[in-house]
Amino acid sequence: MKGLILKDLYNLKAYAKQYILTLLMFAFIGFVIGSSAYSQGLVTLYLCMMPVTAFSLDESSHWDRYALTMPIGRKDLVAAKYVMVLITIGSAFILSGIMTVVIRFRMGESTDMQGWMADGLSLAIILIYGLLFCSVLLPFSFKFGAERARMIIILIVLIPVAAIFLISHLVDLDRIDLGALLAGINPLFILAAVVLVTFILFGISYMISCRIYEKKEF
Amino acid sequence: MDHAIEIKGLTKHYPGFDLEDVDISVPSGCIMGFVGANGAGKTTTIKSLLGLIRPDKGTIKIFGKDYTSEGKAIREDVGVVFDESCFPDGLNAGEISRFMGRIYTRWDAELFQAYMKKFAIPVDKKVKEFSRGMKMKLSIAAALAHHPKLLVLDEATSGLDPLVRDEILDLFLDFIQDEEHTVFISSHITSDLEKVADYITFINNGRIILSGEKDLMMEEYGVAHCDDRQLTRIPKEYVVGMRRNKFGVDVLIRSKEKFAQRFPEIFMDAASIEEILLFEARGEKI
Repeated sequence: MKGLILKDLYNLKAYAKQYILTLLMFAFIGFVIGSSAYSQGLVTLYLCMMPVTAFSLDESSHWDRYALTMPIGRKDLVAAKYVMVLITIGSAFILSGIMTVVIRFRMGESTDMQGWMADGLSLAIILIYGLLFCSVLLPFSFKFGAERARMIIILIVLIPVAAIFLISHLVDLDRIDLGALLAGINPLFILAAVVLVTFILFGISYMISCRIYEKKEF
Repeated sequence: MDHAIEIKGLTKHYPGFDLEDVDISVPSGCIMGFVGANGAGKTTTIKSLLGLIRPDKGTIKIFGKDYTSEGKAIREDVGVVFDESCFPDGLNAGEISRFMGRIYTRWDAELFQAYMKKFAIPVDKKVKEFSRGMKMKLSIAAALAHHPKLLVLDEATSGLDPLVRDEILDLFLDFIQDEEHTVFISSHITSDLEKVADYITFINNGRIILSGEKDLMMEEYGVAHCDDRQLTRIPKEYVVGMRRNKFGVDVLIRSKEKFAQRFPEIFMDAASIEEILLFEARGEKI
């Protein structure tokens, strides 16, 4: 397992320069416009593509059929990819966090409690979004391969957008008083619950991928 | 005799191709050549052997153990080389050695280094810049560097020039010096197998057509060159297959010694592995 992750990291090393440059650019944009929200989103989206890149590199060299002749179980191969996702989303989270703090201090808003809360919330959303994104993407990648999974990425992004658009047209959102609905519930509690559910979905996604991979023929 | 590999009744159906009831036994301590045309079923057999595909029927044992239930432990003792290097393009030999060391418990980084030196492969050069020969040597070094007892090679020498092939075949002969070591090598380059193999198994159209000790086969089979008149006199039981050419008929003969005593006037050559394959697979039957 450690060997597999090391292999993926070496594999992605070839793209290190490109990654660092792009991330610096995102940070710079955030710095200039004085808001971290935009950069947070970009960094997360960008880093979420890393496991997909690792997938397609493996595919083009037929790595999997070779790896399965080694003392590695099929589950280990799946697990290694999920750990890679945790590593990339973890790095997106940390990088975004650092960026947020830097930008807030630069804007001289270091005492703005409400601002900090908002930042914290958007960081949590990054974590949730990244995990959900990969939870959907990985089983498809194991089933259909990275290239076709790339098409599915577009759907993953489009479906929520379309859904929100549709709902907002069908239901008059102004009439629903979210504040009243959620009154009396600690917002932190809601956030914690959402994060927990996300991690559970991530675990379910892992189990589905294991099932798919267990049956796969090479 | 101990068997490193025992395949019994292996069957796998694909649309348009069936691997049917394949039996192969590879005795420990020898090199078994697995010969067949492209698409004959060599790779399907090897993939089943390695657990990459699930057979519809049949049992597969490696070192007498069931591969499906005890696979992980067995794979420490098996080195595999496919027809291409399966290492990702962006890695170099040094990185490969480092991560492989975390996969195999007996990975020998020094031995791997020694092979890299022997093959003149630079440790810091990326795999994508390698020639095909270098890639194959890298794969073979990786297969040997964890001290396996069994090497499984699928078309590992195809597409390589004669010098590199010879170098690689020598490696296999070195490897086999240890009595516990076994090699199972598939190829359509029959001259390679003729050079190194102790046993040969022929596969055609998803079926095993012949399997046995190479030297015995060489003693058993001959190619008789005769004309149509002579052909009518040859009893059926001697004839495996025949091929016509502009000078007459070539006939693959079994029990060639008896045949030679009975028909001393018919000129006969030794049969090569290639000829046995050609006559068995494509020759006309009587």
